[in-house]
Order: sequence, then C-alpha cells, then structure tokens
Amino acid sequence: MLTQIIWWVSILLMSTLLVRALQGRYASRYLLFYLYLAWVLVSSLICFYTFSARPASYSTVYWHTQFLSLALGYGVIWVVYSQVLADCPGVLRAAQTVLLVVLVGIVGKTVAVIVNGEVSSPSALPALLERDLRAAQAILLLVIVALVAYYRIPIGKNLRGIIVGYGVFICASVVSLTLRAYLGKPFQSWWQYLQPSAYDLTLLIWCAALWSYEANPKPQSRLELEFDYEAFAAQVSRALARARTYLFRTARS
Amino acid sequence: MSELVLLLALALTLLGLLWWWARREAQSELSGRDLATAREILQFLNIELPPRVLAERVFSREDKVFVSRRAPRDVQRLFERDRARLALLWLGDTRAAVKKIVDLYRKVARHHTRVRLLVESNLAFDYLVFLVLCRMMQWFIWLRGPFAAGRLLDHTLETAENISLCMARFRREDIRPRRSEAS
Repeated sequence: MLTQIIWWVSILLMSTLLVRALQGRYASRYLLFYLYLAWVLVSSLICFYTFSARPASYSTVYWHTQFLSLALGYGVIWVVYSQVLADCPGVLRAAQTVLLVVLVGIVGKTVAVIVNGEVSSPSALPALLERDLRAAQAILLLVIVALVAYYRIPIGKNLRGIIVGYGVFICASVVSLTLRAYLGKPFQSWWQYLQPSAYDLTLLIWCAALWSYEANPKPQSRLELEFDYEAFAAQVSRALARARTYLFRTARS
Repeated sequence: MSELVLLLALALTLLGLLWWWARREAQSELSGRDLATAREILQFLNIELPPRVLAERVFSREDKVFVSRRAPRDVQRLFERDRARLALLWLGDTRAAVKKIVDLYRKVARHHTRVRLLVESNLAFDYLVFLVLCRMMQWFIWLRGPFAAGRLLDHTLETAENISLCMARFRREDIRPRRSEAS
C-alpha cells in the first residue's frame, strides 16, 4: 500500500513538472533534463503495470528501465555543467579533465569487478553496477558544487534546484545501494521504500525550483582584462605558499 | 568494509556540501553582476592591510608589563580583555583584506579561458591553509590572550604582506582593466 502511494505521488509530481515546463515553454531550455524526467515517468508507468499484471517479470523490467534512467541521469549532469560553466570556459576545461579521470576510474573499476567475477551472485550485479555509476554521479556533482562555491559562480533558481534535487537523490541511492550490497536481504524491505521516497523528495525540490522559468544570471557588462593569468596566479600562489611554510614552521617550533 | 565507508563518506560529503551551499546561496543576494568591474578591481587593488604598527601595539608585551606593574588587579583584567578584543578585531580585518584580494582573483580567473587545474588547486589549498592558521590564531587569542600569541602574529602579518606585495606587482605589471559594455 505504502509503495503504491509513493509511486502515485512520484507519477503525479513528474507529470506536474512536465506540464508546467510545456505550458511555460521552457522545457527546451533544459531539454536533457526534461527528456530524463519524461523517460522516468514512462518507465514508472511500465514498472507499475508490470508490478500489478506480471509480477514475475518485474525485476527484469525494473533493472532494464533503471539503467536507461541512470544513463539519462548523466544528461542531467551534463545540463548542469554546460549551463553553470557557460561563462567560465577555462574552469569548464579544467573540470572536464577531472571528470574524465573520475569516469575512467569508475568504469575501469566496474569492468574489473565483472571480469574478475568478484560479485557474490548474478542477481547482485545490477545493484552493484548501479551503485558504482551513482557514485560516479555523486563525484561529478561534488565537483560542480565545489567549483560553484569556490568561484562564487552565480546561478539561477532553476539550476540550483536541479543540482540540489538530483544531489539528494544520488546521495540516497548511493547510501541505500551500498547498504543493500553489504546487508543483503534484511535491507531489501527498507530499500524498496527508501529510494522511491528519496525520489519523491527530489521531485518536490524540483517542483519548487522549476515551477516557473528563471534564466541563469548573465553578466550585465563585460570587462576585458589584458593580463598574464599564469604570472598573476604564480605570484599569488608563491606568496601563499611561502607564508604557509613559514607559519607551519613557527607553529611547530 | 573500506568500500562501504568510502561510499557512505562520499554520499554524506555531497549531502553536507549541498546543504551548506543551498543555505549560503539562499542567504546571499543573487545578482547578475558576477564579473569584476574595473572600478571594483581598482578599489580592491588598493586594499590596505591594517598597519603593522597597530598590530604591534595591540600585541605589545611592554604595555602588559607596564600595566601589571602599576595598575590594580581589576584594571589589569580589564586591560587584557580589551586587548584581546582589539586583537580579534585586527585579525578579522587582516583576514577580510586577504579574502577580498583572493575573491578578486577568483572573480577574474573564472572568466579566463586558460585556467590551469594544478595552479588553481594549489592556490585554493594555500588559501585554505591561511584561513585555517587565522582561525587557529583566533582560538589561541581566546584561550591564551593576545600577549602569548605574539610569535604567530609575526607570521600572519608576513602572509598578509606577501599577498599585498604580490598584488602590488600584479597591479604594476600585469593588469590593465578596460571596460566595454556588452550589447
């Protein structure tokens, strides 16, 4: 009963989000995000039907739809990166390097786990794969939030909501999938409520943030600076490093 | 087991960061003026750190010796409390001045097309260490009073002056602000 309530709430919230975006004609502004949302809505309906009509094949259908949702989730992260760092080309390039390293590391680790047969049972494999891929998404979100906070990049209500909402869902997924992998069956009953409830919370955050379109803040004026970035950075860095060493030496003495 | 701890730590770090960031964003006023303006840069580049002579006076042991010899106990206590308050105000001013300079750097660097990951991460780390040391000194003043914090004081000043010096060089050599309105 509770599962069905959580399910219907999420379907209602997703439909509301999509209708609002279509009515306000801002779905195209965050196209990948709304594609992801539309897919999750469709897959929820498919899963709901399977759960009610063909319970035996529910697990297979669930994992197939879940992996496509996960892949489209990377589209949400792409929307965040491309829009937040649109005016910061240098930072975007630096972030891409970090992201590439993270993705190669996670995919490499996952492939190694499968090839070496380190999974306890074949039924546990999809959950482990999802956990690792969600962990990669968590790292990607961690990087973007750290960059936004460090460089004080101003972002609008819509994008902030997308980041916070998706972040909450990713955290809940990583925690629940990790505990499920370690605790096994006893955690299963909790897991079937935890992840969908977290998704409902995410949808509520998205509803509040994406109720209407709010453009990302754009610079009102553009200042062109002719300066040697590397020289500037090196000077600030050298001064800070010298001072740090000095301070540490004093603190120790 | 280590994987369990690592993944839970990752999720909790992300959750904590999101919580802190969402609260900070909600509190700060959001404006479209995210670029450093020429006026702002000139203003920031002329930042003056609190004068060294003032800091030396606040932390002077001679004053303490004089008061402890001549004044009654109550006056001594009042003197130490006031000096501690002054020292904390001075520390706050120094940190704010350095923060403004680093904030300006971040504002300028984020729009640069060739930002280098290594350079940026080094700078962020150095700045973090400076902030931590300032915080440590603050605690030191709270716990032991300003007169015991003398040695650390010298080095905090050194940090601030190094940054100020490098900004002065940057002003002379590397930066020529030019403002043009976007259409």
